[in-house]
Amino acid sequence: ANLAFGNSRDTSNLPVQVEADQLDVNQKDGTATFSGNVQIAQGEMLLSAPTVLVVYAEDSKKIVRLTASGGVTVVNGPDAAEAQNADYDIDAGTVLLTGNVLVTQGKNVMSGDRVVLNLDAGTAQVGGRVRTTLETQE
Amino acid sequence: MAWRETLYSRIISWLKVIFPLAALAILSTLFLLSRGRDSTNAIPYSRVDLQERMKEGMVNKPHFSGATSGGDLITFTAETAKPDPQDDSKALAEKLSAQIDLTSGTKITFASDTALLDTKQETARLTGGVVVVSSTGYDVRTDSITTSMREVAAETDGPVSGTGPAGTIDAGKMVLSTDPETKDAHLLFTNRVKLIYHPQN
Repeated sequence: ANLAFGNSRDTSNLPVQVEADQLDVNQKDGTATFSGNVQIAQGEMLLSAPTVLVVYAEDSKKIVRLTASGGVTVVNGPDAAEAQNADYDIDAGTVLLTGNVLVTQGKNVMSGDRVVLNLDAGTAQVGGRVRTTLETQE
Repeated sequence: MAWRETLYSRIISWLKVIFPLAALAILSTLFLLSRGRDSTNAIPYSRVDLQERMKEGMVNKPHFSGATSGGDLITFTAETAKPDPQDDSKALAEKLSAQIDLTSGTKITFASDTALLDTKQETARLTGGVVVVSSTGYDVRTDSITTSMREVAAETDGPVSGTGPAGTIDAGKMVLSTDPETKDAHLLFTNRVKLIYHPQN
């Protein structure tokens, strides 16, 4: 099922700001883990989670993905989504939410196993066992 | 008219003799008549500077290296170092740079304008334009950092700011420590860290 999620945006290379209590960089292989109410902000999207792992590209000059875990909430404009884990692919501008995902859009609430948020198009695509509750008594 | 030609050729033949001789004379003034050079005078230096260095025991280009229990190499070099007059277990160094070569191959360097080396606690306190560079792609600056001379451990007093592999980074504090179990060195940016990454695809 497809659902509007936040408003679409023109480019996916808005600056990404990651803020956390702590960043731990393993000096052996350079893996970087943010921990302590981590907040990833880009444009109107705000993703918050307890821990976020930074996945660098091969030449490690680019961040390929940010994988958040331990209970994630994503807010994009008026809409919000919650899940256990989130995998934010910056270049593609998509956030893959897994683990009892709950998407609230206005009054409608939709839950599923897997939700792919497309930040550029401003849509949420819900996969797996989908259950929607629509508020209708307008 | 004939006498003019003979006079002309006679002058020329005389000139052919006089010019080389004149040249020889001028050339000789270069060597024979030159002013005596006194090459024996010593190179000018002031004895004050020498005495000051001797009295203070100033050491040039001191070099100190050692290995940690985990096998990581730590090297300290400085422009000059001199013992602290009040406490001889301490030394003041100028333009100190420390380099840590981890067994994992990563290289971490600290550099600062001045440093206070405490040989008793085996720590060095770097102050003044401290630059910390790690080959994992981090290049940050801070005001002062205290690092151990025996183990891979360092801690800044205050905030650091600089660049990470992808983007700028700011944090309230930075700690370099070794994980007891895995023995891996970890660079921790704590007290609220902020990374700004500009994707350009």
